[in-house]
Formats: sequence, structure tokens, C-alpha cells
Amino acid sequence: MLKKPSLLATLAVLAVAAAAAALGVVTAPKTLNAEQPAGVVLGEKAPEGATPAQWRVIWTSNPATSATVSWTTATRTRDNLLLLDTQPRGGKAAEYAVKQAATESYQYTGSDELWVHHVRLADLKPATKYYFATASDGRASREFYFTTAPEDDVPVRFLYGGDSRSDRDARRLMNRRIRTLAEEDPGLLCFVHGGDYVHDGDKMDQWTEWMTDHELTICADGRVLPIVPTRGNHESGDVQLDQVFDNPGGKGLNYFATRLSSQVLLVTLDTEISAGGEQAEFLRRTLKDNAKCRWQLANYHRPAYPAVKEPSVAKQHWVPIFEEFNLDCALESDGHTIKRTCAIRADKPADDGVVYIGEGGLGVKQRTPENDRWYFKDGVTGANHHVQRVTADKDSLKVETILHNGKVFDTWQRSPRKR
Amino acid sequence: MMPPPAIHGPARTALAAAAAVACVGTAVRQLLYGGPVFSWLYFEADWTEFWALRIERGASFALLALAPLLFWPRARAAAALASAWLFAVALCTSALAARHEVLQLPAQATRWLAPLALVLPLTARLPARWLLRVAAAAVFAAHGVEALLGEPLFVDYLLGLPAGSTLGQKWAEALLRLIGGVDLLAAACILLPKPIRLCAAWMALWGLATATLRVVFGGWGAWPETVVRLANGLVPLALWLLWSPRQKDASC
Ligand SMILES: [Fe+2]
Repeated sequence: MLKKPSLLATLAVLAVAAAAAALGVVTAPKTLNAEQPAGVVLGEKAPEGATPAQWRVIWTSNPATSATVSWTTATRTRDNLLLLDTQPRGGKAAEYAVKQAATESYQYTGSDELWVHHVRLADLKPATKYYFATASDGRASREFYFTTAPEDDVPVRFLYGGDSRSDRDARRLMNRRIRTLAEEDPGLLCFVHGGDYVHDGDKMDQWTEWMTDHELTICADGRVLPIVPTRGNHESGDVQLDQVFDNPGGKGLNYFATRLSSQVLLVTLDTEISAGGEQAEFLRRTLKDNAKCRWQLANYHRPAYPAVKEPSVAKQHWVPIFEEFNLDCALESDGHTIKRTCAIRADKPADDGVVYIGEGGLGVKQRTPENDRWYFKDGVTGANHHVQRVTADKDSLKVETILHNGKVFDTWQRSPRKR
Repeated sequence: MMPPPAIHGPARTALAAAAAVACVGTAVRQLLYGGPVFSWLYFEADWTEFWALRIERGASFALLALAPLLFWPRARAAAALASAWLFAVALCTSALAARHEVLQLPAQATRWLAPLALVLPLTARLPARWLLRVAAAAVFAAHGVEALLGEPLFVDYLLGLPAGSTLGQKWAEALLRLIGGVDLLAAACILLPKPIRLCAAWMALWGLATATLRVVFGGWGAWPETVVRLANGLVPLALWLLWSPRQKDASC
């Protein structure tokens, strides 16, 4: 027979466990909830205590074989674990093939209470589903999953969008749209964010809202769309972007090349550091080394061919390289409009030129574009919250601009170049 | 009767030219690309796009109309209006800046202080000259600090010069630090009690050269960027003219 204090202790443990389960966590790693528990909706609550929250899967250079899984806790936690497997494990922690401790855990700069945990994964198998849960000091999340990029020549689809900084309702609306697009399309590979996540990139209260809102992009079945991050001017020089996304490309030097398949190259550039010099050399080297790659795209924040503002230095330092190596399409943000230019070469319309698409609509007030600029003849402009879906296969590269309500506003397509 | 202006003769012409180019450059930039006042009203103060745009466009046409009037010594109200709008532009630039916010107001000081110096009467002869010195010093100090901090845009301008690509990023950054140091020295020098004409001459030449750099880098389409920055050379030029040994009152 149990003594009274033991009985009380048992009841207390059960009560805590029940409360924890109701919050979507268990005192794991004994069991994990495979389904999101009733009453817990992603994207609604700021992190609390040691309960993992604000999950991101981050892609930079080698998405076929590597990724970073990151999450936030609202207190310092000692044991931060990623449980990983290629099979769903239904919440049974002991069954996960890999239990990897956080590569890095530290407090976000400018926050009294928020801690970030990054687990860097390497040697993953291409085009493979990875099921994972995160656990901090024994409090585990539900199970999620992501799919690594393929290494062979298969059709690729991904989302692109920028500027989510100032209209939170619109941001959440667009995140739900991203989730719907992902749920409708299991083959959708990742989400490329073109920068300007928040208004003040050094304010953690804004970043934590963004990260909670980012949970809304997670599919109902737990699928997380990996994010390819880009630095915008609202994060210019701010360490928080590097902390949220695990130094994408390098601390303060956020440029890198991503192979999304054997025939799709995405070069992410940083318009907040010197564009010429080393970054231009990197761009030239990357495009030269990948000269035979069928589809070549670039992604950066401040536009070379803007719909509202003046051109950034990308125009002087990068556009000549794009043209020399026959880039297919440049994805640009910052302007808070919809735009697609005509194909441009040597600052003139040219059928074999580069097309510039953007320009930021993931949660910002839209501006009326200057559609009388010469490069919009045979192009498209608009003003509405939007995201772009890029489809690259053997025969064509297609970019669709999709509005917040799911309507396709614009579709552009090009055939492969002779490379 | 209106008292005569504090600055007169060739120096006044240089000063009026500084204020006029600041007006024209600002107006054209606003009309072509939208300016910081529009951005601030629309994005920060939550005005409608319609009204934010109307206000800025109205101000742009007003600036273009005011520019020629600035050469007429009696048009002090025009100079005061120009100064007020150019100050608002600098203030909004500072409010919207992604980095170095505190440097934006001094970085544009010649633009908003040149027309203000045109407003001052002869009785304020000394304050007017000090206003010009402070304006020139503020512009050089702000740009000097930005250069010492390795402002990426400045590195890109250096690398974008005709021979810039052979320079390489490391050398461009080193050269930029040197330029920043020289800018700070010039800023301190122009504030010394005894006027140093050579310093004013250097600042005038350097100010005009760096303004010209914008079209060298960005092509002829970047002419408003050059025009708006000509004030950085024309204000020190006004000081150089004021400090001519032939001027009776060249002592401050
Ligand atoms: Fe931006």
C-alpha cells in the first residue's frame, strides 16, 4: 500500500504529465505525440518554459545531404536533443534511430528569456523523408518531418517570397497560404524567403512573433517546409538573423549556392554587405562551375530592376555576371509589389536575357508599382500579398505568382537554354 | 525694409547653387523613385498611399520651383521652405535607416543647412559662417565614420570604379579606412577657430569628386544622385570664397 506522501507525489506527477500532454509535450523522451494534441494549434502561442517551439528546418549549401533543425525554448535548457529517423516512430522516443544533441544552444541576443537550439545534420540521404521530434530537458515536441532535396534530375518545385515585416495579419494569412500550397503538393521542396522578415531585425520581440507565425507554414501531418534564408535591409548587420537561421552561408556573410536537384541551382546573395569584391567573385565562380546546370536562379533582397525604388548595387556588380553566364531568373524582394520584368540583357529587352521576378508580399503594405518603367513592357506588375511558386523540369522553368487567396495572378515560362 | 543677407557676393552664389542642387536632386529622386518622406508617411505613420504620394509629389514640384528663386537674395521665405523640407527628408532618412541611423541627419547637413544660411541676415554674419562650417564638418564626419565602419556601399563604389576591380575587396576596405580618417581630419580642421582655406579647398574638391562618383558608378541615369550631393562640395567652396584674402572680413 502506498504511503500518503508517495500517493501525493504520484498524483502530482500525473497532474504535471496531464498538463504537459495538454500543452503538446510529454515528459519524454518516453513517448511523443505523433499527432498534434487537441487544443494546441501551431502558430498561436509564444514559447513557454522548456517546451520546444518555433521549429525551423534550414537549408543552405547541400540540401540533399544536410540541414539544420532549430527550435526555441523560453528558458535555458541543458539537454537539447533531436530524435530523427527515416520512418515515422509514432512518438516512441526509444525507437528513433538517431538521437543527436544540439550542435549549439545559446540565448538570442536582446532577449532575456529566449534560447535557440540548432542541430546540424550531415550525411543525410537525398530525396528522403526524415521524421523528427525535438526535446529540451525531457520535454519533447510532437513528430514532424521534412524531405531532403533530390540529387538526380527530377522536376523540382519550391516557393519564393519576401518581405513579411510589418503587417502581421497579412503575414499569418500568407503563411497559411504557404501551408495550403504545401499540403496540396507533397513534392513542394522548400520555401525561399527573400529577406525583411521583421521591421527591426535587432528586436527579439519581433523575431519571436515571426518564428511563431512561421509555425503556421507547417502542414497538418507535421511536414515542415525547409526554409532558405536571405538577409534583407531590415536585418542589416543584425546578429539575430544569424542566430535564428544558424549563420546561413557564414556569420554576417549570408551568401551561398544551393543545388535543389542535379539541374537546378539557386544562388542566394546578400545585398547588405559589399556586392562587388569577394561576393561577386563567389557568384562568378559558382556560375562558372555550374555552367552546364540546366536551370540557374539567383535570390537576393534589394532589386537590380525594381518596380518602385532605385536600383541597388546588384545592378552594377551582379547583373553583368548574370548575363555573362546566362542566368535564367533572378528573384528579388524589397519593393512591396508584384513584378515580372521582360527578359533583359545589357539594360535592354532581349529574348535571351534574364527575367527579374518579385518583389515582396509576405506581410507588408503593398505599393503601387511604377509600371511605366521600360522593363515592364512585356512584363507584369501588381499590388497584392503574394508568393511565387517555381517549377523546374526538363522542358521548362515556370514561375507562378500566387495571391493570398490562392488565385494565380501571373505565370511565366521559359525553355531551357543551350548550355 | 529687408536687411541685407549674411552671405553675399560669389560665396552667396556658391551657397545658392548648393541649396538649389539639393532641391533639384531631392525633387527628381522623389519623383522618380519615391523618397523617405513618402516611405515614412505610408509605412510608419500609416497614411494612405494616395496622400503620402500627393504630399511628396507636391513638395517635389515646389522644390523645383523654389530652386531658381534661391539665387535671388530677397527670396528668404523660399530658402526657409526648402530648408524645412530638406530637413524633413534627412529626418525621415534617419528614421528609416537600416544602419547608422544617427549619422543620417549630419550626413545630409549641407543640404538642409545651406538654404538656412541663405535666410540669415547680415546681423547674423558670424552665425551664418559657423553654420556653414558645421554643415561641412557634419557631412565629412558622418561619412568618415561610415567609411571607418566599412560601409559596404562605399566599398562597392570603390570596386565599381574603372580600375576598381583590380583593387580587390581587402584593398578597397583599407583605402576606405584611409579615406574615412582623412574625412574626420578635414571635419576637425574646418572647425578650428582660425579659418584654413586649404582645408575648405580640399573639402570642396573632395565633395565634388565623391558626388561625381555616383554617375561614374551608376551611369548617366544616376545623375540625381550626383546633383543632390554637389552641395557637399559647394558649401566648402562658399567657405573658401568667404575666406579669400581679398575679402575684408575673412577672419572667421
Ligand atoms: Fe527591404
